[in-house]
Order: sequence, then structure tokens, then C-alpha cells
Amino acid sequence: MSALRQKSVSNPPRLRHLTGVIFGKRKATVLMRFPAICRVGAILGLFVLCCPAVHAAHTQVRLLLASEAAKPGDTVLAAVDLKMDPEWHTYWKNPGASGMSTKIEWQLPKGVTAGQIQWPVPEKLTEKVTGEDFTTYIYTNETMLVVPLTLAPDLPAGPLEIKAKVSWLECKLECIKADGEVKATLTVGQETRPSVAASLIKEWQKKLPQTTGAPTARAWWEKAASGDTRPLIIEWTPNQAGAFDVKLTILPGPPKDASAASVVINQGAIADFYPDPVPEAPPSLALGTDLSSPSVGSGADPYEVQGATESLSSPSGKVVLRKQVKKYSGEWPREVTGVLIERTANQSASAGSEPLWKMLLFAFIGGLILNVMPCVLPVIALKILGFVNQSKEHPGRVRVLGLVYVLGVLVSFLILGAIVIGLRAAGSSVGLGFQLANPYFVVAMSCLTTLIALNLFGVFEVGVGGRAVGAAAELSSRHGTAGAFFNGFFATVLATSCSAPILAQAIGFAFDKDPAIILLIMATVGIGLAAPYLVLSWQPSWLRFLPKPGLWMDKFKVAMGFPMLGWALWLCSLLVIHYGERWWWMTIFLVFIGVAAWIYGEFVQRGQKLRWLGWLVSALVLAIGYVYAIDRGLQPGQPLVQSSLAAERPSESPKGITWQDWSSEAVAAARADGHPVVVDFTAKWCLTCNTVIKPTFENDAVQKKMKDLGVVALLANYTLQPPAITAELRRYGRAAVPFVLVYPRDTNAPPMAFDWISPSTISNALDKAAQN
Amino acid sequence: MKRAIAFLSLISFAVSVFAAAEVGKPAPDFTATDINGKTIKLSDYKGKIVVLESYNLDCPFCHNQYRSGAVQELQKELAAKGVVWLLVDSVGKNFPSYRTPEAARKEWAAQKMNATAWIDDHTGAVGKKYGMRTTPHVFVVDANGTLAYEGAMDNQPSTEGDPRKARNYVRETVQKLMAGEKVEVTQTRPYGCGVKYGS
Repeated sequence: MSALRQKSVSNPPRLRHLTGVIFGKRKATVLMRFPAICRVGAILGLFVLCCPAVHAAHTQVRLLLASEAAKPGDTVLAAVDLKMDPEWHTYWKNPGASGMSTKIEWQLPKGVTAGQIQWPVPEKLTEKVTGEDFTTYIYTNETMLVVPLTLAPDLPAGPLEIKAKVSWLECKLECIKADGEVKATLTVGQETRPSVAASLIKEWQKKLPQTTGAPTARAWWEKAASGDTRPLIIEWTPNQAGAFDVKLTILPGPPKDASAASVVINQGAIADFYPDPVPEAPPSLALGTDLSSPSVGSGADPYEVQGATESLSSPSGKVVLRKQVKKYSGEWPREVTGVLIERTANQSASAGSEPLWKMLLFAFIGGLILNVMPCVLPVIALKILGFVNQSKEHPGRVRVLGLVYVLGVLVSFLILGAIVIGLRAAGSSVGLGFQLANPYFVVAMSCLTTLIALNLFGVFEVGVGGRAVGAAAELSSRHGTAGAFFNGFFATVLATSCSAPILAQAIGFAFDKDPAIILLIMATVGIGLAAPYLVLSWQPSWLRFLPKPGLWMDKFKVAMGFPMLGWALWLCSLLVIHYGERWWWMTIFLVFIGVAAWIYGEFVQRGQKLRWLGWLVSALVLAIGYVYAIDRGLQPGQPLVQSSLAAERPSESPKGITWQDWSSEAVAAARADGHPVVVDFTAKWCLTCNTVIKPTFENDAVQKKMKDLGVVALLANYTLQPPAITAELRRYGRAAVPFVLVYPRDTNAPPMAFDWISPSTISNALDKAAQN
Repeated sequence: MKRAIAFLSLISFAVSVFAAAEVGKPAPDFTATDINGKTIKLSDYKGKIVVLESYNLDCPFCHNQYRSGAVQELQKELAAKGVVWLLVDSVGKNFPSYRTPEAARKEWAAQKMNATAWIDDHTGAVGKKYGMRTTPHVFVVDANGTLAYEGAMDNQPSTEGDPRKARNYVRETVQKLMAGEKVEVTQTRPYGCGVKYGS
């Protein structure tokens, strides 16, 4: 870093005209490290004028017109396009806690008048530097400030030069004041002709806050001011996603029918309010004001609507926001203007969302873990055993197969991602594990896993040539690529279906995000799942760390059949949710499947004579089984009605706390009575919920603590994925269970969120929650 | 789990640090070092009016104040009345605008500063204690150690124009305090660049 620092002054603009109708130039006037000449300047006392230097701005500016020709009396849209370098930003009309809004000073020919700048909806940047949030409203990458230009009816025909000086503050690690002259030509005549930029400007107009269709919002002071700040409540009925210009009259207190909302549910993720600059704004915020002679007495904002936003829960389903207004002088404002932001769930920033690279890392690890899930392990392990046989003879072949396998996994995960995106677009609320809430899927999966188990036991064989799975190596070397691809597909189906709840923790966050990110995350999970296989196919020498092939492989294969069978039974048991007692018929059907598989294996695959008869009998057994056990017995088309599904836990906790059904009203009511609240989001099909979370809450010490502290325990049963619970999970950026919320006794404090608990973490959380 | 931890630490952070300076209350005392290595303690100046200015010359708003010489004149004018003027430079070492003490001394000379001292606050301790959010963000502490004014330097939130033409709240506050009158404007919305607190 230079030892000498000096400042340049604003040097006269040096125009660098580009050709064409549309052109611009850029220039910045500040801040460089200057060489020794500065010292001379300083010595001469000329520091003020030291070292004029053109400093490349980090923002490019140009002027676009929506028309290249227009008639007198027309209104022509002009757009000042600002392109920021990566990581640099410029500011909205209300810059927020710091910064400066971009200014346009028009130099217009006679008969042309410029209207107000229409600002696209900005991004909200919140920095925690001291105790308070420092919020700024910014633009990154690119923005387009749209200004209507009105042509006088008596404007003479001919070309007109539209010029403007645009000045802005651009910031990254430091802030730089920069400006640029822009101009464009408009031909006034008999016709109106759109320019090439018209469609681009139209696109950007979609990013402006809407001036019509705003939901009817109300605003009121929540209570009297404490010191110089006062909480302001803004409430509206959610209608549609979007951003709307609004002007709100502030009522002196809550209206009679105001939502009884007090619980902070999120920090502005679902909805928000971006305040306009205060009306008695300083000159710098007004359009094209001459800054060289500010009038004394103006320039001080009497108040400020601060950046931080709290979303409050509302039993009536309304959006309720709390903003803090800070008063500097004069009276409390009677109205506020600004932009109401309403996001759909997939636009909302999830609470505590992590950077993408971290999520991708989790996704990768999640995928890796899938390999050892009980239902994946037999299949994948067998594939790796296949390598054991193959690696010596065909290293090149192994690589190809490895890649094809990875491709199979990736394609399957991308399909899964596409299904999720499609379902979501169709308005269906989807969590990861959505398959398991579908009874047909569960039925199909139990059949499939049973067949896999039987296959592992050697009852019948799978494969193009009907060969033994133990000889999979030979099989894949011959019929390889299709087989390898299918294996990848199969591994994915098994992995996601069996492990959805665990997988969900790694990638749950993606379900709120852009389709591209969902696909990226899904692909990363797939890469994680395929990684061991890929590594081994690339480095077959590492196979020496694996045991030598031999007879034990067959035994291992059979042994692996048992966890598979267990998995099939577990899947069956899930049907209780949907069919109650009738789930038992499913196990009977599985026996039929077993018999059919045995006949197929014994008399069709290994049989010498009358193989057609084997086919026939096998199919007949299957058909009888289907009619008897499924069609008549299980009756999959007639699931139980939802109401008969009592939450299971209350009856199962004889010694302790009573779990009540969750609702946001129940949370609010319990907190209003001064109780800490625990909400356990759980589902019957969620393994972790039932093996980790549930025992934790049944732990004696935890139960005692919950009793002693007067904790109200609420159970949110996500088994059938009711929309209210899906929405609540989404509020916290979760797409799956388990999820636990601990609401402190202090109703102003936000809840603590856990994806995983142990007796000690929950005890600590409860202690914290009980403090006032 | 990680998210939960981050969430919890955020809450506790917000609770623990929310203790910014408040007008009408005693200004938080601090001990700091200036660019010459001298220890500066706010309470040592009891009996004098003290001006704290959050400072970063790379910020175009500060730059505009100083390039015209307006602030230097004000510093001189107030120094003659016995007012102490402390520049608080809270820029962290990870920013290009960070000044080593040596660079700061040179800037001090080049800018012909008439302030009392330039506090090297690269840890952000003083800035955060006062809740300084922009450069410039000024605080005026009266002779009893009570915060009399907090906010913008003047009513011209701009990177251009002559600051002498603006209504300068520091001068106004000091004049009122000296005359024993009630300070009319005690708080304004600070403008400028965000303070570049170090990480």
C-alpha cells in the first residue's frame, strides 16, 4: 500500500464518445494512491487540487430509449442502464443506513420534460456490524432506472439529442463517487417507431414495483415510543407474490380487528417493506437537483424507517411485519410510503441459509452417506465386489462402466429434481420424502425391496442374461453399459426412497430455491452417491484395500438380503398410516410375490423343461395374490380418512408430558400464558424422528425438565404433509422433518431451531427458553 | 444444528452489543491510542466539549468535507474555543482504506488537520461502542460528559458542493452549549458511506 494518500478532486468530465445512437462513457473522480507528486502538491498547499486522475469506475452507464422515432405529444421511455462490476453495488432511491442514491441530471432540449425515476425493486443488504442491523438497499450486476420523457405537442420535427449526467456512489470494500455523461438521439416526426432497446426496457419494467393491484395494507403504531424509536406494524392479507408501491396511513394504535400477533416467526423472509426516502428528503435524493446551492434548513430527515424487519405470526394467515421507526426531529409521521414485498415460499430467503458451497458440501457428504444405508449397501456393495473380479483383466473397461454408472445416478437425480420442480410449479407442496406419503409408492417399494431381498437370497436372478448376481463382473463386461446405467438408476431409486429423511437434512434447503440450484444440489448428491464407485474405477489399485474375492461373496450377498427384508417390512408398516389394520394384507401379498419369484427362479430360470408352464404358474400366483390380498384386502384406492389419524405420541408417553396438536394459534396462546413452547415436527415415515428425536423427548431428565419449566409441548404431525405444517416448515427454510422449535418464554425473542437434538442440547435450549 | 448455533450466537450478539450512545445520557467512556501512540481517554477531557467524528477520507462524503478545507476551518474555530476534536478511524485492516499510523500521519499533515487527535480504531471498539454507522457520523459530548448531539455533520448529505453553505450541526451544537442554551437539533440521520469495520 502506498505510503502517501491523497484525494483527487472532481476533474472535468472527459468524454469518450462511442459510435451509434446509444452510447455512454464512464469516469470516476476519486481515490487513488498517488505518487510523490502529491507531496509536492501538499507542500505547495495545493492538496485540494492534487493529482487529477481518471479512475476507471466499476459501473458502466448508458442511456437507452424505447423509441428511436416519436411523434410530438408522445411519452418516450428512457432508461439509464447501470452495469456494476462483480461485487460492486449502487443504491436505490432510499440508500438505507449509508450510501447515496443514483442521480440523473437531464440536459433536455426545449419541449422535452423528464418524469420521476422509476426504480426497480432493489436488493436488501443487511450487515451486522454493531448492535443494530445496518441495512442498505442496493443493486448488484445491473439495474435500469426508467424515466418517462414527455414530448410537447408542438415539438418541431427533427433529431433531438437527449443528454444526462448520471452520478452514483459505487461500493465494494470502499465507496467511490463516479459519474458519466450519457446521450441518445430521438427523431421527432410523423411516426412512432420502437428501438432495438424497447424489449429490454420492457423486461426491466417488470422489475419495477407494481403501482396497481397492491394488497390492502394497514399500518399502525404498536405502542408508544421508547426513546427515539417506535415500533410500526404493517399488516395485509397475502394475495400474490410481487412488489407494490404503497402509501400507508399510520393509525395511532391497533385497529379493533387487528391480528393478535406477537410471536416473531422470521426476520423478514416471507415479506418485507422497503421504505421510500422520507418525503422531506434532502436535495440529493430528489431528481436532478442542483447540489451546488442547497437551501439551508432542508436536508435533515425528520425520521427514518429502519431496515430490520420482523415477521410476526398471525392466526388469521395475514402478513404482519414490525418495523422500527427512528425519529430525529418533529412529530411522528402520519403516513409512510414504500414498497411492499411479498414473496412466494420459493423466493423467500430461508432462515439462516448457508452459502452455496457449504450446501454443496453437505449435499456431497449426504450422497456419500447414502452408500451405507441398509437398502443401498447390498446393491452398491455387490457392484464393488463386481469390480474385485474385473479390475485385473479390464482396467479400461472398468473406467467406462464407472462413468456410465455415475451418469445413471446423475440422470436419475436430475429426474427426481425435475419432478420436484414440476410438482412445485403445479402448486403442490413438496417435501423430500414426498414419495413416502404416497401409498401407491410405498406399496410398489415394498414389493421391489422384497424382490431384491429374494434375489439376494438367490431365490431368483436378475440380469439381462439371467446369470447369477455373483457373476456380475462377467455380466457387466458383456452387457455392461446398459447394466451399469441401470445400476446407477437403481441405486438412486433405492437411496432416495429409503433415505429421504436423512437425505433431506443435507439438501432440504434446496427446495426453497431456484430450479437451477435444486438441480445443482441434486446432481451433487448424486456425485456423492457415485463417488466411491467412481474413485475405485479410476484407481483400481485401491481395490487392494478391499477383501479378496471368493466364496464369502456369496455368503455376504445372502447376508445382505436380511436388512433388505427388514426394509421391506418397515415400508409395509408405513401403510398403517393410510390403511390402518388393512396394512397386514400387504405382507400376505409379499408372500405371494415370494412364491411367484421362487417358481420363476426355480422352473423358468433354472428349469430344463416346460419353462412356459413355470411362467404361467408364476404369473397365476401373482395374479391370485393381487386379487386376494391387494384388490380385496388392502384396497389401496380407499385410504382411511385423515381425521382418524390421531397423533401417536400423547398416548405413548404415560410418564410425562402431554403432547398436543400443533397450530400457530396454540403456540401463540401458550406463549401468551407465559410458557416456553417446544414444537416437534415429526412424521411416521421419518426414521430419525422415531429413533433419535422421540427417545430424546422421552428421556427422563428431559421430561422432568419440561415439566418443571412448564413447557407446553406441541406435536406437528407431518406424516401426511398437511399444508399448514409444510408452510410452517418452509418458513424456517426446511423441506423435511425432523425439525424442532423451542420458543422462549420471552415473547419478543425468536424461537431456536434444531434439525437434530440430544438430551443435552434440548436441555440447554429449554434452560435458555425459560429465562426471562 | 450449525444453523441453530449461528442463530443463537446471532441473538446473543444482538443483545450484548446493543448499547450505543444515547443523546442526553453520559457518553460511553473509552481508552484508545492515537496515530502517534498517545493514549486518549475520553474522561480525561471532562470540562471540555468533545467532538467525535467517524472518519475515512476515502469515503466521498468525508472527502467532500475535507477537500474544501471547511472541516479544517471548523476544527480551528472550535479549537480556539477549547473544544477537543477527535477523528475516529474505525476502518479495519482488511480494507484498502485502512491507514497505517505512518500513512495516517502523512494524511494528517497533507490535509492540514486542526483536530486534536486521530484515533487509530482499526479494531472498531470505539466506533461500535458509539454505534457509528457512517463516515462522517459525528457526536458532540458536552463539558459534563453527556452526549449532546449525534448524527450528520451537516444538512447536506452530498459528495459535492461547498459544505460551508450547509447548516453545520457541530458548530451549532457547540455554540448553543457555550451560550448555555438548549441544543435545538440533538439528533439527525447520519449520512455517508458505511463504516468499514474490520472482520
